[in-house]
Amino acid sequence: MREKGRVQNSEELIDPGCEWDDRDIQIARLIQELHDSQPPSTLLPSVMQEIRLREATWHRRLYRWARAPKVFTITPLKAIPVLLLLMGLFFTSGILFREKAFRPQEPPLIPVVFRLRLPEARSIALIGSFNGWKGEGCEMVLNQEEARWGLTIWLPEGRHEYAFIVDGKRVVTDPGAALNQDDGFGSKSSVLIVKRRDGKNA
Amino acid sequence: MNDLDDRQIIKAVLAGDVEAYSVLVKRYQTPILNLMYRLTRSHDDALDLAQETFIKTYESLGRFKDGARFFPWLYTIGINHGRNFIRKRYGKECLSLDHWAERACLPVGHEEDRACDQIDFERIDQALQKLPFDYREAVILHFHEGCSMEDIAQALQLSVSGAKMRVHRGLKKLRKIFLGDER
Repeated sequence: MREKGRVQNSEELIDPGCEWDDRDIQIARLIQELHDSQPPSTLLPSVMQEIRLREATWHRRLYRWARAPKVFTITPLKAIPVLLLLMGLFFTSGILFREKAFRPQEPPLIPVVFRLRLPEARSIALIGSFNGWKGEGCEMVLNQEEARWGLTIWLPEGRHEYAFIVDGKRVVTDPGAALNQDDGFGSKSSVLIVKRRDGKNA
Repeated sequence: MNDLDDRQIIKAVLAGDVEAYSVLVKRYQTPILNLMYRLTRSHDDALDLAQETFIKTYESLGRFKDGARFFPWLYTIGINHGRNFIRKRYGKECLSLDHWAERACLPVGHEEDRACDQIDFERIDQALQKLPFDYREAVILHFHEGCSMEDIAQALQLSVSGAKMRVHRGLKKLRKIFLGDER
């Protein structure tokens, strides 16, 4: 929009390529000098008040702040710790990534049920190569109805040796085991081969 | 501040200087208010629509294209807002803005007042109301607001040649209405 005062002659606005006569120019001048309705003094304040109200909300302020460009000044001295921190983060993330990428996959665990018919025992614990031959946490539970002790644990696929400790002092092999072997210390242990049912390797 | 280019003001507003927007309102409140008055022929409605147009425009400033001209963009928002208002208020009664303008305008004066030295602003205003909306706005934007053909094309969403045609034909139609010139 040109400034009104600058266009003194409406002929300036007439396209010279068109056929215009004096009357056209007179009409153009009349349009140019047509009186405008002047806006009331309330228009500007009411617009600005509404805008200020809208801007007062926190999310609008946050949006404005985020949109506005920011200038950061930094000296080399201040940049050094930041650079070191970034390099540290970079290398740490690289190591973590490599570790994660090359970490051998955990073998899948298979549930194994151990049972022992020894109703007269007061307590029975399962010991074996899978728990460091310590019975803590592997105490068997007596099923009164079946008069049988039982325990289910999750073991990886492979060969495991085990035995039961009865009443905390007597080591008993599993009478149901396919194989019992001498442990080299004067006792015997049972051998269990854990395999997935479908026979596939884990 | 008032001497700043529109685009600089918009940048300042977008950077968080809300008060800078008042310069744009001051600069363009008259043409927008008059556009709304031509649409509604009601001072109260024109004032409300002008206010809403500036608020709508403020809300849309983030979408203002860098390098574009502000006034035609504002005018387009105003025209669309005014059109929606007319449509909502008069619904099916008003098929188009031209239909509405014809209903709203005052009768044109008698033909004996043809001589150019007798014409007055009231009659040209009345004759303008007889013009179809797009022709009228093209003529007003060009001759009254001093807009270039490019600006008119942007404001009325036409091609530049379309804008030239509207201005040219608009003036011819206006002459016919105004002077009863049948040439």
